[in-house]
Amino acid sequence: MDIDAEKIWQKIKQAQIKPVARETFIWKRALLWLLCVASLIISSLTTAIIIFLLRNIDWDIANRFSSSKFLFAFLTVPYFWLVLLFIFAVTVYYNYRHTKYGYRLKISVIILIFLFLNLIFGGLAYELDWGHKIEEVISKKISFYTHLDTQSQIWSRTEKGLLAGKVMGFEKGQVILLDLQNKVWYLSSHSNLQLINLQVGEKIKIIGSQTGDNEFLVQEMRPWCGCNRCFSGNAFCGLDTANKNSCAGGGCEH
Amino acid sequence: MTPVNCLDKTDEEIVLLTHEEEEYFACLIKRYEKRLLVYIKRLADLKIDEAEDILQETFIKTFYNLNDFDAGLKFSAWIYRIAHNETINFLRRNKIRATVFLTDEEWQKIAVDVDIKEKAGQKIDAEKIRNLLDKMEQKYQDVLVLKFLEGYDYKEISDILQKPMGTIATLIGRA
Repeated sequence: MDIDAEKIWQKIKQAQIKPVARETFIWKRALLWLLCVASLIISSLTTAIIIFLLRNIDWDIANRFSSSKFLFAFLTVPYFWLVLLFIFAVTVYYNYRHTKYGYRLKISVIILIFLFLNLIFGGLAYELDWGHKIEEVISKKISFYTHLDTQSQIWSRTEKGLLAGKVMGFEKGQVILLDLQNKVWYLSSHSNLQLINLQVGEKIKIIGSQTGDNEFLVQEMRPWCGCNRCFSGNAFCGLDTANKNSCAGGGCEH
Repeated sequence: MTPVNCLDKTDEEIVLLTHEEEEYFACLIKRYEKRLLVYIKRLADLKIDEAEDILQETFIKTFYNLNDFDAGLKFSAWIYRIAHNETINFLRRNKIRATVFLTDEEWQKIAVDVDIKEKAGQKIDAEKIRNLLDKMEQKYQDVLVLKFLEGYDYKEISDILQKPMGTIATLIGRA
């Protein structure tokens, strides 16, 4: 079992092998940490969006789908964002695990630390309303997002009396609405729609019933951004017309 | 080999000196060649020329990545890690199953070490240990070899196998 050390050393010298520069390793490690932190930040923003979406579930419309609130909850789970959160969680783990001493922590400890940091930063981002803002930008910029967003799916069920979209204008006491599938609707009501201080471009949710191919009878209107309640000041809620934007933590103007 | 004086120096000091004068690396080769060859042979029942190839590759990788070594690790743990990874890669490449290959004395040593720890006082002989180890998954074989034959502690085994210390303790306990 005797081996010639000289032979090995000569081979290294003849092959002109040189140690990789220290800076290369420093950059490599820095890149891993950067990816780890970036993934943590993105996952925290994803958590902020998830909190925002979960807090804005309209539980009161659950009975339109089924008698079970659990089934409704199952329908409204933001799967897209949860999948994204999982992907970024794996990315955080993978990058951390490949840092110099990343192997020293157990996977359970890494997961706990990740969850702790994710909830802290995600909660902070939610409080700053970033969850809502990012979700809104994505829904505007990415056309297929409507198909992935469970809220959009639920509020596109006109057969169940649920409709959502953007106010495009007003005509003869009716509100013209462009729904989430870009179909134009004419909204009418037994009450006076003018009482609601709607603005062109505003995104809203409507509970009512379909009365024609593109006509909808409104019973109740809500701001899209949630609050799980009617506009304060919504005539259909039987309230006065003041402070309709007061419900969503500053996010209802869209 | 260039006669550089390194007998009184630690591994870590030699690594620092190698950064200034590459010839010092020959000291590390001399210091570890036999130990690592034995270790590689213990991990799998390889032919001597295969084990020597892995050893050579281990030293080349060590030299190539020398700037990646830092004082947070013991050099011996670091070079054992490289040797371990090279051996595992070789086994995978050649689709060889890892089986612990030990001499009769080494089997006996494990048997004695395990027997000392056996609280029930049950006598475990070398043959029984050999049969059990052969049936074990590689992760258990790895920790047993490093713990009982190479004499490393939990932290060093953790650094060599790149697993948390708690996991190493669990693996040894289960093994």
